[in-house]
Amino acid sequence: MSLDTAANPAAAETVQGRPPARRIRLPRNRPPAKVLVGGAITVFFILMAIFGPMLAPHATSWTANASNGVPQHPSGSLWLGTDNVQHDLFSQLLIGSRSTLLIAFLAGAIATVLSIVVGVTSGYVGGALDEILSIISNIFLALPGLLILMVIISPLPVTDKGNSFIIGFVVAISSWAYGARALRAQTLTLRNQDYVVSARVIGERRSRIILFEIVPNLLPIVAASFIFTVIYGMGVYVALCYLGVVSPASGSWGTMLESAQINGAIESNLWWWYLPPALCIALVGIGLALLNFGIDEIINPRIRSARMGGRAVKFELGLTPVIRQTSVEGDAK
Amino acid sequence: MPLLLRRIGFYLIAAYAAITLNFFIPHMLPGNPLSALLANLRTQVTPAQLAALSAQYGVGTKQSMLSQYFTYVGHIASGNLGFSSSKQVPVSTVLGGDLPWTIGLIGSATVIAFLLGTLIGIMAGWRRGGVLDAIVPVSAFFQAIPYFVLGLLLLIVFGADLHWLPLGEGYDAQSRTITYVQGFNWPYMSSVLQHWVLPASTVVLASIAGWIVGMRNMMITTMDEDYVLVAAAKGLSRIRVIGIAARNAILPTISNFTLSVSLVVTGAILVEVVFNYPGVGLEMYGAVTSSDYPLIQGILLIVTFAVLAANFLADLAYVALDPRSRKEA
Amino acid sequence: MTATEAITIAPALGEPVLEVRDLCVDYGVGSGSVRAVTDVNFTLRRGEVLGLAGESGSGKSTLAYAITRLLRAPGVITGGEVFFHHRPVDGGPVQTVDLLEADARELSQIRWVDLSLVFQSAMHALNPVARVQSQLTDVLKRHRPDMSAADRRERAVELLRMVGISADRLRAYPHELSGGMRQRVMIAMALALEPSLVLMDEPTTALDVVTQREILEELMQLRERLGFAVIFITHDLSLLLELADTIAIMYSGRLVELAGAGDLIEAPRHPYSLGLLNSFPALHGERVRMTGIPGAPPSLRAMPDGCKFHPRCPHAADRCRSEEPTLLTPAGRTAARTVACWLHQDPAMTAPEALARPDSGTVISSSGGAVSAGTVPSTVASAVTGATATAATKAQTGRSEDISVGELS
Repeated sequence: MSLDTAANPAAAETVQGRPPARRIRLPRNRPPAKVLVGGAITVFFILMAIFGPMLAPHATSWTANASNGVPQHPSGSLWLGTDNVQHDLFSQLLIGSRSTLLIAFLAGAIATVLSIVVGVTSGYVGGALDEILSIISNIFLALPGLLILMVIISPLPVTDKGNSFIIGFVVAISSWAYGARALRAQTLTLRNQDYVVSARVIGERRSRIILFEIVPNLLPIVAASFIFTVIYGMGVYVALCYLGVVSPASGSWGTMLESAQINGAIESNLWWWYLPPALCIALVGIGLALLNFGIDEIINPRIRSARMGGRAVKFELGLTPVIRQTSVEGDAK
Repeated sequence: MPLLLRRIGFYLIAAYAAITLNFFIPHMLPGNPLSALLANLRTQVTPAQLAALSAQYGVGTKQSMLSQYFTYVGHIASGNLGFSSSKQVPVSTVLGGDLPWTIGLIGSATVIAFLLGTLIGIMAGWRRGGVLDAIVPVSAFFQAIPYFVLGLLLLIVFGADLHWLPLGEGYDAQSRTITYVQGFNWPYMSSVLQHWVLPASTVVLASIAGWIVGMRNMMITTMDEDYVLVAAAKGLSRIRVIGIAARNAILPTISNFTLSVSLVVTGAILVEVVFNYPGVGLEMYGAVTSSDYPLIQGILLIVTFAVLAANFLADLAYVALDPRSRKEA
Repeated sequence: MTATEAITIAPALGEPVLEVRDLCVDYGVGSGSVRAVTDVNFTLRRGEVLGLAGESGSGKSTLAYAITRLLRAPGVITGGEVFFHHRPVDGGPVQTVDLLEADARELSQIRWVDLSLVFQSAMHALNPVARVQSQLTDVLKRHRPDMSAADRRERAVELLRMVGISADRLRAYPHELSGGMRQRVMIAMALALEPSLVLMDEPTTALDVVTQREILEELMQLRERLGFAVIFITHDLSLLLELADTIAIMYSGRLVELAGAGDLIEAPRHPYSLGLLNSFPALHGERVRMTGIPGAPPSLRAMPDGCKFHPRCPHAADRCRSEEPTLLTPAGRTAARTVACWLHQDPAMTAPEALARPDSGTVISSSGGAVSAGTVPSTVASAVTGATATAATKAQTGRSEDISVGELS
């Protein structure tokens, strides 16, 4: 129960500053540019994650030659060069994409399911259950997820550390609370909408109401919180790899960064070692964030960047623009 | 202030939950990690220290889990966070040296990000359709990159390539020409500042996007309110009208801040690792590398308490700014 | 029945304070734009109460905010002039400003000093984080820089007293006041600088009827005392029948009828006005079959040709379907009223009896006696500004039932 809902329910919960949605109408014309660009980037990397390991020219353990300890520059045959033990970095990038994205999306999916279950139940049922669930989710929000994960994961046996599902699940545990909060707020609003109230009065079963009346209107928030959780999950997982808490057998982008850091690649200016994974991580994040912003704007068209008419008319509060047109009034059929 | 009391109550519960979690997690994990942990450490620590650690974790003692738990809580309440196996000193001593650096870094960066971010957000929200609307995709760029990756990129560009700024550390401890004495003297302070720029910039850049976009969106929503139109209708100057809108728009922004505190803190900790900044983050990295579990746990607790304290400060600010929250609706 | 010969009564309410000419307002720019207000013309005199009535979406609020250049995005004014005549504070001749051509500086000098607003919902129109005192004094600070802080506070106390709120409420926040009190604070705020024109956008719609009555009475008393003109926007025609001197009926962004309140009730000319008047039932008297107005107002994007009301008009003729009538004085009449309907402008068409009742040329003074036209003593003229149309109606039409509360939408 945050301050703003206690004091001013109308100001409402937001996920990243988004006001609660009304009945959503999707735009009839084409989606904003953000969605397209973001979507394209995301799809590209998902494809990389799926097909990368198959397309990688070499296995992660392959070495260019066994003796030379000097990393090689990118060349025609080795597009990203090698690290100090002669692993092919391009292959590592492609292969590592799978675990990175897999865990990110897995964590996102699990967290989203958890947040729906907790948030919608909490919002719809109300009462003591709501109080308890709210306190629990607020606790999870307040605790620093990464550190808790380190506490949990560090002492685990090595086999478990390499298991994507376990890691994904654990990451999800630290990130479901954000979505749950937003969903709870939205459920509370929807619960009192006329069409839901009438369904309750008619006597529809609770589960039916939740599934058919409430959840469809929650989909935009669910989508947005899923994306947010994926971004967060990727960040957490990369951080865990970077810190050496987790070491997946097939490598990951975070692991590449870790080995780069340990071997002093930055000081030695071996850009082909640390830059590609860093850029890939950044790009995936950007793609997902653009998607997120785009969805934000679809839900709340007011915050869309206003470009009205050919020349952007400057609207300022208190100074309604006066544009004298010579043409006839525009309402003729 | 019934609202504030509720919040304080919540923070106490959360702190208590953190302590409890911290205690039970090692005991709940499969494979009996504690015994393995202590077995590993047998070679590193003296027998006396080993005994102390065993007592701390209740391994080999005859105490029941419950009484171990209460002992543990008692220890935490009195400030005893355990004994660091890698550093051979109490955890609290270790953290005592690290915390000032971390708090200084995160605190200053957050204040800067807040001030700059809200200002830019206000202008972007007021002047819709202007140049500042491009801020949204730019913010997306910075908001989506994990903090430390951003730090890496900055380090690469400004530290390694351009050599404008130092490559790490809190101050130039390895300088061969000057000997730095810690304290309030100018050579030391200027070196600290120099080394502070990049890590702080990273935290600022990564967190400012949230402030900007949040404030912008809230400004747009708030400007639809009637009282803003009334302010314009009153013939008040533009600055005052913006001020009225901003003053109201900032409220949800502050309460959203509480959501993100733990993220900012976590991110900043990672930034420290990138920059070898002598704070809690770097300590954490070392603790992981050397399997210093007590230290890891201690850091978790301290950081949790700090996050809760920051949340509480934000709550105080909110209550101070919104008169409606002082009366239980 | 008292004398109802065609007498022209134009109560001398004072010189014009606002003249609106051919005002057009769009929403949006370019191909996606929609016209919301078309060719509105009217004149408002000092001290006059103009009621602006219409269904939701008729454009009445758009019109009011456009006049003051306070229309929100994406509203755009696309034509016309709005002449505002105001007297400077330090005396001197009346100055005329075209509000549509004024820049920000000029507008801010006029705003609230000569022209203020009262909004519908005081909960949303008052700044929730500022105390009542500062919301009353900020305009004083802005427009009367010579006032000291003590003077301002005193004036704030005076304003609150004027609307019946005790001074200990100065330090309160809006959420600590009741709905009626908040509305009173808004009224006090609007009158802080004693403007010559106050725009009221449905100021009592959000209140219960009892508070509504109280506030309206206080409002009218204040108006008589301070002498400001009022544009009163509402969808509740029955309120206007008691409050307004002149009533303007809007439909689909156009003024379709503009007449004195008594004339409008007594002798409506536009079929829409007649439909509205017939739409609310009386509290007493025999049961009458309610007719209402079949159909719905057209969407702004799909307006019919010709007269915009013709699809719903029982008297529509061919000319109505193709040509749009303009707001003109009905042929053969001399009363100061206008209507946009071919029934009254096309010699080939005859208006039905209900739309051709004789104008009520008689004016009722405050003492209740009828006064014949020709000589309009100034005392009567000032009494007319507060004249209740109810009294006029009662005396002249013989309707014994009161006009009850009814709504248009």
